[in-house]
Amino acid sequence: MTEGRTEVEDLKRNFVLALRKNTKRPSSSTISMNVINFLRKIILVEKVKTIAELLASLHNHAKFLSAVEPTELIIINIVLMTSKLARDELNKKNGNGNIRAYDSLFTLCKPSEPTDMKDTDMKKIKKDLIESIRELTIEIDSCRESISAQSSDLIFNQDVVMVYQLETSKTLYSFLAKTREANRKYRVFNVIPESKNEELNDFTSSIRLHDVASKICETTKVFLTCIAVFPDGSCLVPAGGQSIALMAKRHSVPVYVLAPFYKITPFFIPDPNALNISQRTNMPFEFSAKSAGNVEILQPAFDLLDSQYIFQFVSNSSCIIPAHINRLKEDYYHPEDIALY
Amino acid sequence: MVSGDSKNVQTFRKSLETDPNKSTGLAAIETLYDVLKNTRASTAGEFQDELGNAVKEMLTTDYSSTSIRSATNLFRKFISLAPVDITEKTDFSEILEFYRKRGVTFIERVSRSRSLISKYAKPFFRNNMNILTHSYSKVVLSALHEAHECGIEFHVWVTESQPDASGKRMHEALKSLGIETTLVLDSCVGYLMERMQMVVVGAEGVMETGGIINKIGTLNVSIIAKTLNVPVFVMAESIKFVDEYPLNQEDIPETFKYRSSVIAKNNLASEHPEVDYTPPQYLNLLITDLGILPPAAVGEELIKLYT
Repeated sequence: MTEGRTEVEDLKRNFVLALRKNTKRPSSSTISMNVINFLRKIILVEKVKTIAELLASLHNHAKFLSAVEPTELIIINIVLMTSKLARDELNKKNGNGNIRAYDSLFTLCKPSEPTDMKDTDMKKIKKDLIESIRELTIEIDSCRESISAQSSDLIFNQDVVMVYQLETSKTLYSFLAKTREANRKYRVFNVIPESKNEELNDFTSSIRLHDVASKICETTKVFLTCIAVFPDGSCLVPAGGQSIALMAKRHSVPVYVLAPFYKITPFFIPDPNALNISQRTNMPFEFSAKSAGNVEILQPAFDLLDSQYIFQFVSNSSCIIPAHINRLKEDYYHPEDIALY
Repeated sequence: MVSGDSKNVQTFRKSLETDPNKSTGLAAIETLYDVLKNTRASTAGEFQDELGNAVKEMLTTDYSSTSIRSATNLFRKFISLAPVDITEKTDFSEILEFYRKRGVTFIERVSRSRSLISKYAKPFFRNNMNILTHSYSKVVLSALHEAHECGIEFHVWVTESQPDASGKRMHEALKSLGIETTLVLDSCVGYLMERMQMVVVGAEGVMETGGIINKIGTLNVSIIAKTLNVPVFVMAESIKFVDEYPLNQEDIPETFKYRSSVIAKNNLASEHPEVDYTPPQYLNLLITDLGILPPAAVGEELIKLYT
């Protein structure tokens, strides 16, 4: 094994360890930052001769990491974005800057070879790539701020807002905080799942998940967080989110989902149950010893929320309707990369 | 072969008869390519007229006019999308040469469509699934075949799909591939639906709305599936995209609804339409060779092309 190879292995190992050592899942922006930093180091360390090799190695790492952490779709998203950036750099260098990757129907009359990736000056490309990765980090970093900035356009005086999983989402918290700064007078129902303890703060009234049905009549807007957004406008929300959305639909209350761009997953998951992990449950030891093998405790972590229940996604650039997610995906991903997953 | 057919219609029929697995759209494109190969036109106008005539002739046959129209429109659009330095050439034969090259790539790409669709559709099949399909569709058949080849075991329920009992053909084909299948009545779709995990159908044409035109009865199947929350997937090659925007069933062009020989009889009051229009709200996803698209994306694709 060569020196460089072990270094890459170490990087991978450290990345996975950093992801797993916390008992609580770090915020998604932290994870995406970690992935980017990991990729940047990989790009710097690995000696690749052509851009094709670079892309192949990026995808290899993506597949490895997603096998290790199958529920973290953000990892693949970020790798795909990086590989799109690498392709853009190549295009820029070859002088065809405004080439359209999503020619869709136009691809029918084009020769079917994958994009030409001739040997080019890798040093220059690497340098530019690192620079555009830095820009990507800035964009991710500013996501929370730009989503929060839209709050005063969405929440008004006298509004009654229902939120879910406030304690796990810093973005949702700062979204609400921003409107309070603007001196909007509104009420917040913070829905707390049965399994969690109440966390008090000075601006929300806590209600339990089973109280949603009675409180939704007073609510004017629902804000949810999500784990991943799919191209058809459906999304994965924390378990319990779907029942809130169904209730909201029944009372025609608009449901907004906060979705920074790195949560847009460019491919479909045919069976969402496949990546639906169970949350860790606390069972008294005595009980678990008695029931081992007989009792299965089901506590799924996510719900797949269909696009018909979502009014708008609040993304970092603007609010988008679910049908437009498919278009937005084109800004961040390259079709040849998506085809690999 | 019907006597009195023009040369183009003969090529078209022969192409479909020699290879029963060929799609109508691909055969139509190949016929146009044949015209392109043998043309003696000396101006672009003349050449377009020739193509136009060939399309008109093909539309007189009883093959799906939706597929013929969408495929030929795309072909004519694509071969003429030439860079300026080519269109400005004074010698038309050079331009024709360029068109021919384009035609070859186009046909090559289109003939791969079905295998691409099978590839994209594969993850959607799982073991022990009950799948409902309506009528006979070559794309659906090849996708089911490929999934089965990979070792996925599922049961396919096929509706008879009267009046021409095309479902029966589908049933036979599936049986010969070793796939578990049951032929069911058209009227028992409602009865069966609660047991289904998904519905897959093909399409004669995909409209700008994202809805589809397909064998009559598809609308019934999709509405029942939607009501019982069973996902409906459409498998269709992208050459089936048509720039048509039907608002309701009445609004479907007559040439799509009836076979040409029926229209020629001039007495539609006593006839039964062959297709219906399924609006996009009843469909979940379209699995095409361009990838998996939500219905809303089809309109965007067509707008990109025809504006």
